[in-house]
Amino acid sequence: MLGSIHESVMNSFMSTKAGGGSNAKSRLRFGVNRPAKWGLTFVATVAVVGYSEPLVEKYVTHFSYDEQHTEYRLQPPGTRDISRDYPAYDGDSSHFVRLDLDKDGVIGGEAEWRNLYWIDRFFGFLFDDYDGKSIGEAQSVQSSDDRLSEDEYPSNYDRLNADFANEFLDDSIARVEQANTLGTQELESQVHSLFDSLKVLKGSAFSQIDGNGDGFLTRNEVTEYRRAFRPFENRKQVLLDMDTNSDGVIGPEEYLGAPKLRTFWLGTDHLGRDVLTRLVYGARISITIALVVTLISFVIGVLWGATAGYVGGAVDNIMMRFVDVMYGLPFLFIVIILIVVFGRSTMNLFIALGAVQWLTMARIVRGQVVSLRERKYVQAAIAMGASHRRVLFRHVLPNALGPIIVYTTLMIPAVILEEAFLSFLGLGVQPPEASWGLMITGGLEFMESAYWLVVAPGVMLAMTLFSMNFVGDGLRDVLDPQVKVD
Amino acid sequence: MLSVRQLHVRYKTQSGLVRAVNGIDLNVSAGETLALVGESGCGKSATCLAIMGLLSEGLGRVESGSIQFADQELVGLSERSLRSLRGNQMAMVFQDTMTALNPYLRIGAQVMESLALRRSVSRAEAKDRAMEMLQRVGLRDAANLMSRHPHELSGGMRQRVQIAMALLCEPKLLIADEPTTALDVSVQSQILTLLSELRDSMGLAMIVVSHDLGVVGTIADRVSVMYAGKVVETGSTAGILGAPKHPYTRSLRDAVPRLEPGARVPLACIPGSPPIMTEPISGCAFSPRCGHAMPQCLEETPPLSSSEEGPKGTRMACWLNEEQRS
Repeated sequence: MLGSIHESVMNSFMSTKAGGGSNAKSRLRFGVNRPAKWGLTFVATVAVVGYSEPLVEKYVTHFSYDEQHTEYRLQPPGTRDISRDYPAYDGDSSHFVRLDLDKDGVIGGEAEWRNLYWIDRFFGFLFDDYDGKSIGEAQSVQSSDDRLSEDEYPSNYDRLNADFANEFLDDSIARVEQANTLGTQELESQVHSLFDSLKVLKGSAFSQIDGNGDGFLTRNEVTEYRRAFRPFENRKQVLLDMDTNSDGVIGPEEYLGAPKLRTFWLGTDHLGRDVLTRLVYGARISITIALVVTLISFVIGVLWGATAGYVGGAVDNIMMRFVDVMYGLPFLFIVIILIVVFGRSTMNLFIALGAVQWLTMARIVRGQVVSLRERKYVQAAIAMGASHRRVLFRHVLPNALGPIIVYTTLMIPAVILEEAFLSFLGLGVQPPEASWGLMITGGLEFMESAYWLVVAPGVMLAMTLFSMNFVGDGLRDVLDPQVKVD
Repeated sequence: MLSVRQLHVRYKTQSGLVRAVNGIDLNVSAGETLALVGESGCGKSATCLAIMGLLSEGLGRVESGSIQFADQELVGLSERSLRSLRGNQMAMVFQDTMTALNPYLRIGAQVMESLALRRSVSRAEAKDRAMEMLQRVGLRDAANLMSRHPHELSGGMRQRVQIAMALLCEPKLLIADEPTTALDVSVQSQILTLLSELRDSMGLAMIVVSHDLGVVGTIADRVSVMYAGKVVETGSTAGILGAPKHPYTRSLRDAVPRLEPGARVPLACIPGSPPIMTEPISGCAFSPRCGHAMPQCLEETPPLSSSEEGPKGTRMACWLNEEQRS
């Protein structure tokens, strides 16, 4: 069977090159079918680009797969609700609540951001300023060894602390009075409670930060300590910087992660990852999954269905009832069991999806074979002394190819979407990896404000779907000897 | 060459056991053509399939009887030995030229198939022999034809291709199951001429199944008329078609439309319909439709015995015959 497919496909290609031999004159050639030709070109290009990613990275995107542009790790434009993406919110919400001055569940508005900025600055310079990086009182003992010793620890730390607190207090009160959103009393109590939480640094600060008590502060220890103040991360500064018109909202025109010709062609996602880079990587995974799963289910489904249909009788009954039973089980149930049993890996995802997809294929093939085996030429072949295997693969299956190929090409987008669904549930491709499905499900969350997160992979998926359908059409025409060139 | 004795074929169907063939005897020798004639469902095709050993493809099986082919008993032969006989020793030509060729394969591949199954023949040799055979069945431009697909050929050409396929391995027995039914009249005669020429030149034993008495008259040496799985009359073509004795054969002959302009003869038909084959038949199966039916016909099955009148070797199964003899 494969031999004859190969033969006819080769013939069609050859004849295109040779300008059409008399042999293939009666055949519709694949190259003549424009949508099919372009569809194949498209899918092939996507697959090649997906697999030649280092080149793409070097010459086109300039970003590696793992690189995340933390300065763009932002909530998408227009969204003031950062609670969803707020680190403090999922761990320790106390600081979040404290900073949420107007208690609307959102850190937003200039006053609130401003506070974050100052507090962030305060922690930021602790390490950089005193580990021999720049200024400092105890310059002589500074070692720049990435460790902060007792000697390097600023002697005027408490003073700095107080200065900061005062500045913070003044600033906050002034701003909020100006904004006139809170009563002075309420504001003061808020700010004071915030200040109280900072007091832990006073005096015993060094020993508190020095987690393992070895007399040195390492960057890790400082980071650990800062984790208690997670709302004060750098990104808030970026948010402030981005809000160029200071209206408390970052519009699409201010958002750095939006698609731009000079930087990110397709923008960045909510974690600051370049969408184009992920699209290229996603192409690799999505197309591989689609092709491998389709191939697996093609082989199993065709063999199973052809055997059942050709042998018939009790064998047919048992084999097809098995398919019915598998159909009866929820698709997700089977896949989850397989993935849980065999572990979570891309290879197992192939197997699990393939194990489910072949059922429909088996039914289609079985139906075709049952009708085809009654044809006279099948009987004629047997009457000529052909073995059953030969009859099945040379006379029955090639004639069933039309529906098989159409279903196969329809299966490809279905598999891509199923992979997306499984990935969405956390069973498929694991999040650091990218697949188109994963990108779409991830982007849906921000669709209103960051349309490009959905549009880019969505367009690719749709185009792949169309392409595969065209390719399937073209392939079926090429393989069907009765279609004539006009 | 071929001798069938007391062949019984049963089909298992949803509505029960169908007794398709109920003890028929056939003899065909080399260079001779036997025609099997009868209405649809009378067991002609079942007999052919039984000879080819193709019954297991359906749900039928040979229940009893023997099929001797070239001193070999075919009933109970293994599938493997049967397969080596098919194509090599006996071949079959099918009725429907539209579906009897695989639409997917080129003519060349199709014709060479039977040679491709024999490992001993090289590809080039197979091609030469296929082309030679195509020319022999009267297809000109065989080289061009080899790379065509079946749908590009006319019905007559397709039937010739089928015949070429069947005869490529030079079998001893050719079974033609209604070889001309799907063809128009002018092509029919060409095919029939071709078949008889090939039979003579290759010394084939041939069984032609047909319900067209014109075809039978053209090609057959002997005729066996079948009804409800039994041979009701058998003898030389001239004898059977010229002077049929059995009431069924007579009605068959009368049912052939005449080409007499202006005559406006109403088409004769046989009243009633063939018996339901799932039920056991008592007496003569044709008796419910027979104009000469006697009480005896309903109770006892007439034996197939030689006829007093008519040419020598003619035998028929009818109580009329028995009466004349006694």
